[in-house]
Amino acid sequence: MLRLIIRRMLVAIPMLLVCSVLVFVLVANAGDPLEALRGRPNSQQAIAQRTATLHLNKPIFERYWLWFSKMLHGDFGIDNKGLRIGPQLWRAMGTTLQIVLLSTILAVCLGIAVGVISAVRQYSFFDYSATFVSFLFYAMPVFWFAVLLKVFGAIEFNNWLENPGIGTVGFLLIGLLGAGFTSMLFGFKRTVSKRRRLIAGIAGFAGTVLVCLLVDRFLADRTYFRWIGTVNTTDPRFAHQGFWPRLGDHLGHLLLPVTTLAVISYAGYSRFTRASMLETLSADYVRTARAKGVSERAVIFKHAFRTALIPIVTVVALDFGAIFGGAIITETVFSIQGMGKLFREALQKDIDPNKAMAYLIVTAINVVVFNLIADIIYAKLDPRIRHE
Amino acid sequence: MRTTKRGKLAVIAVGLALVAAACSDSKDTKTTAPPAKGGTITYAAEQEFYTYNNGTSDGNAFANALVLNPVQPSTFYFDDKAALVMSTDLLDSAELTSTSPETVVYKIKADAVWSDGVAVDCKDFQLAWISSNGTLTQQGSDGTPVTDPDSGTSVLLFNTASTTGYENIKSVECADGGKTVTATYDKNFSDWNALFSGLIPAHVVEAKSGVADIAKAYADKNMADLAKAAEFWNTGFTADKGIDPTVMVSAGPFMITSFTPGESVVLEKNPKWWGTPALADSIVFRLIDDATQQPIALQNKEVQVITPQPNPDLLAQLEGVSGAEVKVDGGYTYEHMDFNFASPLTKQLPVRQAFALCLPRQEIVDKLIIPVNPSAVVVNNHFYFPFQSEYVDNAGDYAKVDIAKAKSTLEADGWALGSDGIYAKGGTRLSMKIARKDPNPRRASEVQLTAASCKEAGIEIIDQPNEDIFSNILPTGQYEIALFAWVGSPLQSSQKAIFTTGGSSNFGQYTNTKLDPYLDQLTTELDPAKLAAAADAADKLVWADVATIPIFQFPDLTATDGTVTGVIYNPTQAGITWNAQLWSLK
Repeated sequence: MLRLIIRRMLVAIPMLLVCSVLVFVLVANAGDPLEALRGRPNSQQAIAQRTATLHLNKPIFERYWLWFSKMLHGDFGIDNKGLRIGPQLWRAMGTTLQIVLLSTILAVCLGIAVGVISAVRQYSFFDYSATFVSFLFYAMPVFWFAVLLKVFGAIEFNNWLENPGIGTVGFLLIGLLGAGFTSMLFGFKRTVSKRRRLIAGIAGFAGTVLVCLLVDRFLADRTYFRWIGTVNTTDPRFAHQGFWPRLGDHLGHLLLPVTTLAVISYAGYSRFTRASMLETLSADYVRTARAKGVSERAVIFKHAFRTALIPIVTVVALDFGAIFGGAIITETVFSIQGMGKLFREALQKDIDPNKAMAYLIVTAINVVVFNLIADIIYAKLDPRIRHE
Repeated sequence: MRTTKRGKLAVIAVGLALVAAACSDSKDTKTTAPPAKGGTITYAAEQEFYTYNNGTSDGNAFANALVLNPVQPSTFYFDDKAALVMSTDLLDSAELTSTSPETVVYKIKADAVWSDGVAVDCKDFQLAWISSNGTLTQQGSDGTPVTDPDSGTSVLLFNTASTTGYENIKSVECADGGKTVTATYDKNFSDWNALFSGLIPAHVVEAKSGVADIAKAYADKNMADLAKAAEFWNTGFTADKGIDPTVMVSAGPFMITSFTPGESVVLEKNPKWWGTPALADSIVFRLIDDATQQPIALQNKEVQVITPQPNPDLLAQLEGVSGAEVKVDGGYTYEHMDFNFASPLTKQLPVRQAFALCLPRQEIVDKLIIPVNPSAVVVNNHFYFPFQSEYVDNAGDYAKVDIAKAKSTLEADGWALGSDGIYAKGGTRLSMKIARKDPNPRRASEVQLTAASCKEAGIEIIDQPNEDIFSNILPTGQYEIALFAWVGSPLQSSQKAIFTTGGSSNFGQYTNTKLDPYLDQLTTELDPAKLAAAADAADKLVWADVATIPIFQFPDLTATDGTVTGVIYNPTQAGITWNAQLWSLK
């Protein structure tokens, strides 16, 4: 195992070096970093100044060396606004990491759960609805979905928070949800009779309505703060408050972007899990297990699911590396200063070579690292890999 | 079996708990609610604040100016009619005491202090002049000036955004313990009252760079000290270092109290402010760089004031926001058609005249601008805008489309209508290309309307879209007409570069020796009445030559959620926060 990791890492280093040279040359030829300075009152002096800062008068390989030697010491230089890039990069990585991590966890949990149930109950009502929903999510444009979320998940919900109450329709809807939930839980086994499912449903309805009644009493005559944000990751008015209020505010701002990203990945993961699970469920060893008299639960979770997980884990690891490069649209719509926005800024108007390089090199490292992680997990999960 | 049942019960309990939680999502938000009425007004900033020193070449940005308006002191400010008004908060008086040489005496209020308690005084004026007069250049370790090998230009020691005006000043003298400032010019500068705005605290630069007296260092030509001061002036004020209250001091109604990169800037009342207190306790700038998301944030009550670039979709979006107050005005940025005087066609006056007569300016405004700004009008002056008192309609014959006159003008010049309906002379068809930025649907429509109208007058117009006309088309000279916008300015001294012979912004190489003296006068004339007269004379000449044709002002939008008052549009580069101290919650 260790040998595999070391071997992979040794391959990664020259790959990154070649990549950095290639990217540096591309960025150097991608645009004119002096563009915005032309035609300004003191353009001559400003151009002279920036030329000196960016070493534009030096040959490209000397520039590369200057950049590379500084980068090795963790210094990414300054951008066209005269700001240091390092702190911007770390901050953007932190922000993106929060969102990507949360959304990946959410998407993986939901996607795998729904995918497994869909496969086990293939062609059931649940399977069809899950398929419909995931294709719907898959087909939705991100910016449109984000705006929908903002309108209903933020504006309408916040309006409701300002004057909360459940209302008759609310009781009915939530009650029905509760009924569906309990009857599904009770009736998951196909052997459960219809009557029992119905009883479970009615009990669920009654229980939920009862809880909601209590909650409604509690909510009456109260008013709450508009919790869900549509832009940024914090509300500056919370800056001087304690840890918990700030965390609450932060979560209220992360909710919508995380949901947006999660929904897109969820669609993929659930389809992927379903397919993988169907394949293993029809494998010979699963049939053997069933024939031996192993319980259905053990067949599904111990035999089929474990094997089905192998390709999913790899996909998740690779995906994580890719989204970490930034979800440009999501970040833009929610005004979040993550990796995607950093890259967009580097290319907007006049190209900002140092900024673009910082982004590209970090993204390259990232992709390499997550490829490595995917390989390692794959080897760990699948004993056949190691022996080859 | 038993365990399974218990397991199911547990799951049901969790399920119920989840549903219950869904009903009461907000349980803990009660404790986190900030005070309901704290007098905070939030503005949606389209770009991020990033430096306290807006005077550097890197730092010169509208986003910074918006935050700094109520923070840094200025001798004069632009009001909502683009007139320069003396700040009675900062000054007792500002007087032009002599016109030859031009001498201006500023008397600073005795109680004017920075938020760290140090007086606002003459030293701050001296720093503005020293940093921006362009006389100090960087020196290498061997003492020779650092230059750009391509242009041979010296790199300035203070990386200033502009030396305009300050380069005309010979000396800035102090008296009365630093409260009287006398600026003496060696070359007159008409827009003297636009100088000394957004002052940077000299005592901060001195303290942080370890220079005892910056004015003395300048007088003694102590380059080592000046280099240290310049180093701090150039790089010490950027926001990536965080908000240091000893650096980003305020001498305005508000001070910067917090900055969250990528998110927000918070201004709170300056406790040392000596003038009329601001009405709001705090002004917050939140970064929302996608303009289409600003109305949603307004609707979600996250921001109260937004100024995105308007378009019909955005206006429709705002109509759906209950209580929103929306206003659209024409600003200083204006669309215009510029002729290429190096082209064999457009260097001929009758061709330019005929084009001006078929250019459907009113139709362009009606169809493309009125839907966004119902009060939009055609601009008929190159030097003043309709909201200014000096504005005069000098368009004359070119005010309206006149196809018959366009034809007769061409025919009088020897052009003859060809069988294809296009005029020709000496084998040359009257076919002209309009260069414009692409993609830009509005400009594409403008060219379409123009082509349709001019076809009737026997002039063929060809659309020449390019993603960057300033780099790819204008320098090559391969065009007849350029369609683009100027970011205008109320400062008449700034007009020279556009119209004068060989001017840096005179892309079409227009030249008129009668015009040049007027343009010179615009930079030096100290009498406002004579200045307006010179601008008017210059405008009449530009119209007579049909050198460039203004079309319309870009619409600017100001919207509030209806809970604030005092937010007033300002067409100049000051921006919406020019009167932030008068913003208040209803």
